[in-house]
Parts: sequence; structure tokens; C-alpha cells
Amino acid sequence: MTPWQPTPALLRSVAAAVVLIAIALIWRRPDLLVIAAPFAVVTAWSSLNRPTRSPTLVDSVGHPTLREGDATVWRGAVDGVPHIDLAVAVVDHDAWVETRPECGVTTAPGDDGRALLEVPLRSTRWGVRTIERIQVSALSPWAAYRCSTVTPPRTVATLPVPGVFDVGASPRPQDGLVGLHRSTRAGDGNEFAGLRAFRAGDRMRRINWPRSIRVGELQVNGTWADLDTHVALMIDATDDLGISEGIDGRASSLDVTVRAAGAIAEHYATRGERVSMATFGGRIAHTVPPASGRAQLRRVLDQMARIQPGGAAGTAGAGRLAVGQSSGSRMTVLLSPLISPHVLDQAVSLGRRGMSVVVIDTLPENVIDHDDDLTAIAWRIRLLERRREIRMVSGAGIPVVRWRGPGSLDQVIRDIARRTTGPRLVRR
Amino acid sequence: MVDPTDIAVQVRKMSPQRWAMAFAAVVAAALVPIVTGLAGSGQSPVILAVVVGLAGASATQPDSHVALTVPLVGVWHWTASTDASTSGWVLVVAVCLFAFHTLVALMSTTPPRATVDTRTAVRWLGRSIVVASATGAVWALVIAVDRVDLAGSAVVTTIGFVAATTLMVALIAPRRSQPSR
Repeated sequence: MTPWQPTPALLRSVAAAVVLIAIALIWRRPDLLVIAAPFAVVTAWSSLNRPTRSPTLVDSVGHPTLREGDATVWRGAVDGVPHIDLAVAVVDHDAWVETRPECGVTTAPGDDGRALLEVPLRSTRWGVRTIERIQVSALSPWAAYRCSTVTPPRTVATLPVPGVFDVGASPRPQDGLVGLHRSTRAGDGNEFAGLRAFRAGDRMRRINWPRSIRVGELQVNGTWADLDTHVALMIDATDDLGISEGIDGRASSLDVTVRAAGAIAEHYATRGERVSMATFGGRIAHTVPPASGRAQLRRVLDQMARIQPGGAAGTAGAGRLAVGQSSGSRMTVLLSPLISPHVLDQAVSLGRRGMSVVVIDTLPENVIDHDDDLTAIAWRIRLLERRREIRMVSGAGIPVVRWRGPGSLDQVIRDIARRTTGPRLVRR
Repeated sequence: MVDPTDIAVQVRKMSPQRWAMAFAAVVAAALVPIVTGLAGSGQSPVILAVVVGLAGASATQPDSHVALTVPLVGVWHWTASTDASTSGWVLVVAVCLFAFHTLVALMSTTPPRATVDTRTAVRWLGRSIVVASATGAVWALVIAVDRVDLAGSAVVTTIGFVAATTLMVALIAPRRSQPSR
């Protein structure tokens, strides 16, 4: 911390004491001595408790990673000087970090030369929040001397809170044999499908002996193959449209996108399915290779927290990325506000290559609300064009659904599963 | 140079506690010319307006030297209006000026939007009572000296003042290792 500096309060008490005592002595005014007395005592008190060396500040943030709406505590310990009377911490205002008290200023009295400051922080929106410029001041008695410092910036990653999501339908059968979703085909698995006659290659432990004795021939327990779904999440981070008010208020397009993607990832990854993620259009492209489990969910959410909306320039490259990494054995979920026609073009391109593609529309409904009438009209015109583009994409066989939480994808996934059982025309 | 816009923004963000402290500081400062008028040759609205204005400016900018003008104007008014009065009014003036100084000093520790915690406020109140008691002791000493027919002897009064201050310092010194109270 900086060296101790005298404050205007000390100068005021010293000046008042010296001037009044001098006048009292010169003009023989004992009454002025009475008026000077408190200032003289305060000056003497302040001088006796003058700190000689600078204190030290040790600060930390309780949790480096949070979920939206969760809170942590910034703690600062000012010590090393016996004359610390008061410590003050001032947190700069951040749009997405709430402090308690709301003003962002906390005080702590010094006890035995140590003052402990605590500022509860609540992150209200996903993303990497930088807590910087916490100004900490230490004061001696009567606020006579002050020293201060500014803490180094600290980052708190705020993971998005996945929306509520559930899906009852299962996508088409895949190559592997892991996961919990029932396949649409019989195979090796845990889900009982029915009894059938023994065929060459059946495992001995599958034979149902009571049933075999009754019917006089070998019968086996048939099962549905366990499903290994690879859900590839493609996140359009080109723009962040609409107003974001954090976890407690209105959501922007990127808020909806990230929370929906988080919900889908949580649903599948925790059920043993493989989930991968890729972003496009943002300042930095984030990718997470496919894997399953809670660790994978954490990886996906962590990368989502680092998404920063970029410009339209990244859209074309993103399209190439999507095509390059896609394979026919996965279900691609593309989440986008669908303002850029490039995204729909890429979705159609993927679909024509025989891939299962679902487009989730994440444009918030409040985007049309605008103070400027001309801007509002421009939005209405663009939304009319967008509606036409979506109709064309749907006509090309690419389902486009609006994100509505649980059940958003049920019908779409059933359609995909049904379609995959039949012959397909694929453009190579 | 202080930007008036910044002051307006700070005033708008002031916490209720800060408003209360600012109001108390202005009232304490305003009492000085009022009490001076009662002890001397009558009220002076101009001086009262000047003191209130300076006190208000001090409350909005407590970490500045504006607050120094309030005791100077108040003492000048007292000196010009009264004739070495050692009545109880001088004690009231001394306590009012000290209260103003303490409130402005406390306000200077935090930004206007802040609320000082209760422990700190109680600690400052306790210390203020100690200092006010010392002021009362000095005033009693002045009265005592006045009664033994040593009126006008500033030297003796100064000796008494130094003695009272030394006594206070002696009381405070053992607490230096325990500044919590």
C-alpha cells in the first residue's frame, strides 16, 4: 500500500488548534482556548497514533468459478500496523456483478491492527467477469492519516445456468453401445425388448431357460441396443441481440442460446451420451471434442462462459468449420437467432450431406421493442424476411424449432429417428 | 478544479446515513452563529447564511479543505461579537465546531454512497464523548481560573489547558496498544 498521507481532517484540526491558541494567547481570550481544546486533543490523539509503516493487504475471491446467480465473497485483510482504525473497500460498478451493500462500499473497524473487509459479489450473467479496481484504504484514528491501494484484477468465470430441458424421444441408432437412451433397433443392451428364438451368435447367458423348457426350443431375452448419441452443439455467437438483464431479467439472443445449449448438453452428457460443442461467429472459436459425463458438461459450460459475440465476418469461416467436422453419425443441433442467412445456408448444406441437423431459433421476442421507431420498423421488415427464409429451410427438410425448454425437440427427434430408418438421398 | 456535475452526481447517490450526517454537520455549524448571537450582540443572518453555505459545501466535499473555513468564520464571528465570555455558550460553540469537524472527518473516510458500519460509528461516538468531556474540563478550568480573580491571564489558562491535554493524553496512551475501543 502507499505510504501514509495526512488528510484534510488532520490539517483542519491542527490549523484550528494552532490558530485559536495563538489568538487566545495574543489577545488574552481564554474563551478561545475552550474552543481550541477539542481540536488540540484530536491533534494530539492523531499524532500519538500516527502510523509509521505501511500496512499490507492480502485479498482473495472465494470461488473462481460460479454459476449465474451464485454469489461469492471478496475478502481483504489489512494488517501489519497497530494503528489501523478503519479500512474501506470500494468496488467499481459492473453491470453484471451485484455487491452487498449495493453501493459497493464496505467498511471494517480495525481490531488489534487488523481489519477484515468482506464484499459479497453476485454474478448475474454468464461470462468471464473481471473484478478490478477494488480501492482499499486504511485510516488512522480520527481519519488523520490515510494510505490506499488498488487490488490487481481478478477474474471470476460465471457458467451459464442451463435451462430446463427434457426430451422423451431418442434419435437414430448410432455406432457405439453406450448411453441410456433406448435404440430404435434391437441389439446388445439392458432394455428388455421381448423373447425370441435362439440364433447363432446369441450369448449363452441370454437364454431364457424356463421359457425354453416350456416351448421345447431355445429362447433368448431380446434387448434394445443401448444408444450412443453424439450430440454436436453448434453455437452462433455472431451477434448478441436484444436486451440482457442477467439471470433475473430479460434474456438476449446469446443468453437464450447459451442456456439452451447448456440444457441440451446437461441432458445428454449426464445420461452417458457424447456431447461436443463448437462456436462460430464470435471473437474466438471455441471447440470441445465429444465426450460424456459430468466432466464433459463442465468443459462445455466453461467454454460457453468464454463466448464473446463477434462480428458477421466470422460467419463464413464458421460454416466451413461446421461442414468439416460433421459426420453422418451424429445429431447436429445448431442454435442461432437466425438473423444471418449464412447460418441457414450452412444448415441446409449440412442436411444435404445426409447429416441430422436441428436448428433451434433463439431470437428473443423482445428484440423488436425499440425506442427508435425507424429501428423498430427495420426489425419488423427483417423478421418478415427471416420468416420466409425459415420457411424455405424447413421446406428443404431441416427442422427449425423455437426454444421453449422441455419438449422443444421431442417431435423433431422423433421425425429424425423415423427418417433415418428409411432410404435417404445424400449428395456427396 | 471540482466539477459541479460530479458533485451533483455524488449528491444524488448519497446514502440515507450520509444525508443524516450531512444534515447533522450543517446543523452543528449553523448553531455556531446562532449561539454566538445569543451570547453576543444579536443574530446575524448574513453570517448564518455564509456558515450554512460553507457547511453544505463541506458536507458535499468532505475530503477537501473547504471545511476549514467553517471554524475560522465561526471563531471570527465569536471573537468579534463577544467579549471574552466564559459563559456556557462558549462550551456550546466549542462542542458544535468539534461535532462539525468530526462528522466531516467521518464522511471523508468513505464515498458518498457508502454507509459506515455500526461498530465504526459507535467507536467514533465514544471517542467524541471523550474529547467533549476534555473540552468541558478545559471550560471548567477556565471558569475556576476566572473565579480566583485571574481574569485575562492567558498564561495561566494555557497552563491549565496544557494540563488538561496532558491528562487526556495520559488517559489515551495506555490504549494505544488496544485501539479497538
